Amino acid sequence: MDRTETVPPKEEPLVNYLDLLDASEEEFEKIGSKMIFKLMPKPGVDYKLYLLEKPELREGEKLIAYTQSACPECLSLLNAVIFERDGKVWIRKRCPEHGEIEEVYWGDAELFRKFSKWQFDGKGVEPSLDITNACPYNCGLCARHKSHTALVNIVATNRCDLSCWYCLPGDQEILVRLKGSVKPFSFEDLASRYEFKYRIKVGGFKGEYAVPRDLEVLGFVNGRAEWVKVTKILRRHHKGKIIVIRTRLGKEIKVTPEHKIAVFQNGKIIKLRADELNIGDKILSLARIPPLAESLGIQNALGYVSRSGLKLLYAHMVKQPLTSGIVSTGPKSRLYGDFIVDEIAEIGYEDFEGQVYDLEVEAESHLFIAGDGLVISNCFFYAGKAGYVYEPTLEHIKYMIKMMMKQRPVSIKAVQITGGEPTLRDDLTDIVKLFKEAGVKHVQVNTTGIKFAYDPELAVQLRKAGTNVIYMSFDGVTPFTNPKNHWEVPYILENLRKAKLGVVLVPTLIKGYNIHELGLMVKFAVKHMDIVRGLNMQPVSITGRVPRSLREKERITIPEVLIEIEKQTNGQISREDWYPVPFVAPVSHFVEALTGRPQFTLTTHFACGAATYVFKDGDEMIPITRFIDVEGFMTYLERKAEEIRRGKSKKLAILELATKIGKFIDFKKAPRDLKRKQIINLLYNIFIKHDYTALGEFHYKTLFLGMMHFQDLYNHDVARVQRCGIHYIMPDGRLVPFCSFNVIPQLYRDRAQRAYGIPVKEWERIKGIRLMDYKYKRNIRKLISGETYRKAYEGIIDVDSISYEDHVLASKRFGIPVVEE
Amino acid sequence: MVSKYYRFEIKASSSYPRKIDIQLRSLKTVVSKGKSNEVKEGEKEEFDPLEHLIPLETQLSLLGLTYNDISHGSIDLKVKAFEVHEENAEIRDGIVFEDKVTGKKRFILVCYRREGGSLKISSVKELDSTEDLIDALNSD
Repeated sequence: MDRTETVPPKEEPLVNYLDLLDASEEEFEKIGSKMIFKLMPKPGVDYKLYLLEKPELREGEKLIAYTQSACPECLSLLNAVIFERDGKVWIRKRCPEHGEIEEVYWGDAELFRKFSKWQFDGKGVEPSLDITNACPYNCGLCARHKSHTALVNIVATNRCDLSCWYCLPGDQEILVRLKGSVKPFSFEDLASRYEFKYRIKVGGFKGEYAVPRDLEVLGFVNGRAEWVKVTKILRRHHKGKIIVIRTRLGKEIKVTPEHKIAVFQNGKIIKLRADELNIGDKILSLARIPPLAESLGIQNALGYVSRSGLKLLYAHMVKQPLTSGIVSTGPKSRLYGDFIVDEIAEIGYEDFEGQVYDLEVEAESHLFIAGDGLVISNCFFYAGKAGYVYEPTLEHIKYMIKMMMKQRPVSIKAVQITGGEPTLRDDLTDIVKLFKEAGVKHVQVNTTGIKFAYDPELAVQLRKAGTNVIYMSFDGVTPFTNPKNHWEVPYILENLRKAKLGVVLVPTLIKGYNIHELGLMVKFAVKHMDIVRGLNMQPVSITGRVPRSLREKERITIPEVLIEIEKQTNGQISREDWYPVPFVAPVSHFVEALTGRPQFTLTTHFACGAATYVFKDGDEMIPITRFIDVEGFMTYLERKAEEIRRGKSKKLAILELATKIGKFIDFKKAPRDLKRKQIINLLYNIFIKHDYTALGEFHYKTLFLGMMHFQDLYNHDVARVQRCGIHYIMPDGRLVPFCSFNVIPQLYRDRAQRAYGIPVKEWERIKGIRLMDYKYKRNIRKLISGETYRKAYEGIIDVDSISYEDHVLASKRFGIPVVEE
Repeated sequence: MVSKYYRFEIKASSSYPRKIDIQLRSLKTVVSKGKSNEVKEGEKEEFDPLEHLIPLETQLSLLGLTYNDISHGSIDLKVKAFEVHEENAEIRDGIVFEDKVTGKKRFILVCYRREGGSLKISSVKELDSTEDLIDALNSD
């Protein structure tokens, strides 16, 4: 005992959302005001501070700045150094517990310097929270935040209609209780006892399943090992890699790369894909014997299992002899309830072909104990991955709207409804209306868009409700780069066209995956300029813990994308045509100086994003920077704003601007069919209204090109978090920056959504439907045979060069099943 | 139980992500209850993030600054601690803040009150000059 530290399972605050389904906005307010403080990160519990040491520079490195950044392993706040080396900008930090982490911050130092000239800081917000934590563990927002909210995200649901299926090989063993008798079985042997008479398609995989009676496995229930019912045994054919994980305590498990494993991190259990695991990660395995004995129901089961048999069982599961009550686990081992916090010692890969298995269990955590007693996830079920459905009621959303609309000195004007997949909600139009009624000017819906392909009326209704634009995933122009919605995109665009509802295409950019299609993505957007308002690219944010070699394969940053676009458009859109987001702040400063009222001002960190506008001129694309001296214009406005602040006549300043503005425009270089007055209107819409949807009058002519590089724990910079303008409204009413909500999900997104979630089983019982019933199945043959499909990609790709089999494979690999009817 | 008030003196400059060159000093710190009385200055302490970060951030936030802002480049950060023994005691600090980039100087009177054993900001007042700040610090 003296060598073992016991860590009791932490109980996170939860509300009983089932009791709140009919609750009023006021009731949500009462609960929210308490939950905020319960859900806030706790110093010393959720994170530590290591701020005394700064990482040193090495030979050939040039200092740019120091900053703070979180450790990807333990979330401790560390000092980090940002420096230039070999023409790139890097960030490096060192955690005393987890060592050094170095990552590319920006892939081009020259562009970094250009962008850094245009940093303007905002006035922040009237704080909603006192400062009680280090930044970024106090998000909600506090007085340290420098930008007002430019866009609020609201998660309408965590349900999604896309899925995947992950499994274990047949030789993996599991301890089961079968008709009261406790025995270890291999999956193969267990499966041989049942008839697999049901067919199933999950994600891109076909398989079959059996429905056992009287079969139980040990589930992970709040830190205890308890028998839980197995509702399905599933199996499918798998050809590919299998990951072999070995622990310091000598345990081993084999799983498919996507299968999730329970990982102990910062006192909590999270689920990580097997291919995201690193050596040194803490994983859980069965340890504590007395509670296990109780849970085995040993007293009742003695007729089935002898004392010696019991010893053998324990030896099998924990790889340790039965001792006086607790497993000897070696130095520094810790317990989490009935489990040892073990550590990954080795990760290997094996080629595999054969049947792989999984279980569906009745444990709320969806965790069960598999080979050698290691805790893994039953994780092929979508929102079931989280174990709960988070879906705020309309009254709850009203409370969240009330909270966000309190923001001052600049009120919130733009909202994005996101998910999961928000179109799965039947009341999506009602949600849009709620925001519009509250005075939100711009509402966009972030979606795969797949539902619009089949339901044109949804687009019409959303437009009528006040939706300004659809923000749609679009990862490339081929099935191979965009298996999410390649086949549906043409039909989506067609139906959005009919509904007169504009769309912004949103590719996530991953090196080695879809970068080669950047030029074609721009070309596709230009081709559909009548309905496509913009192309807003998002260089990949690497989630989970990923080894450096894999990060280097996937990592791409803003300047590298700009350079690639320059290459792939033959210089029509060059790297010099782009500016950082706060570039337009001088316009707000000018208006603010004129009106004396705080203005909507984009003051995010210069490294977060980039933007430009392009115009279609025949077959050419002309960036705005080619005929408007945007730098001169912004510098002029900033100077004028300062003059007004120092007492210059406002009327005189306006007059001067009116006479001077033409001097910033080279009308000869402007697109031929763009008239003088239109160009000046453009300047107004783009720079004063900050609204690309207001460019409707320039249909067929103008396209917004943007980029937003959300952070991850490898390139995390607190200076960027403090300037973030894209926030999430949380169920408790806090507004949290995007890069805290999603980069530190265990302390923000997941913690809050779990607290306000409904267990999947309960949700299914209430709704009378199963989550699985929503799973999207794709009829590729039908989709590719339509003229709409061919026309949409005409001149972009040769659709005839892709075989039907390749289409099907692309969809299935991604996880979307293909049907013939 | 004793509460601690921390007074910070800072010189910091950096050009990331925007140029800053600031100096923050305290003219005088007064601990009072009823009648004002200047207290003997506390011992100098090394900056310890665990103890000092939150009070430092709280004070910096009054100036629109953060610890992150001042830690990007060169930084000279001194901490002095004052012990506050009595409940309801008020601490008044006269802060002079100089922004060398804009050339602006600010004079801020910050009052803290000890409540429930911890110090909380009770008022913040921006003044026009060093003289005004001294007057405010010395008034009852």
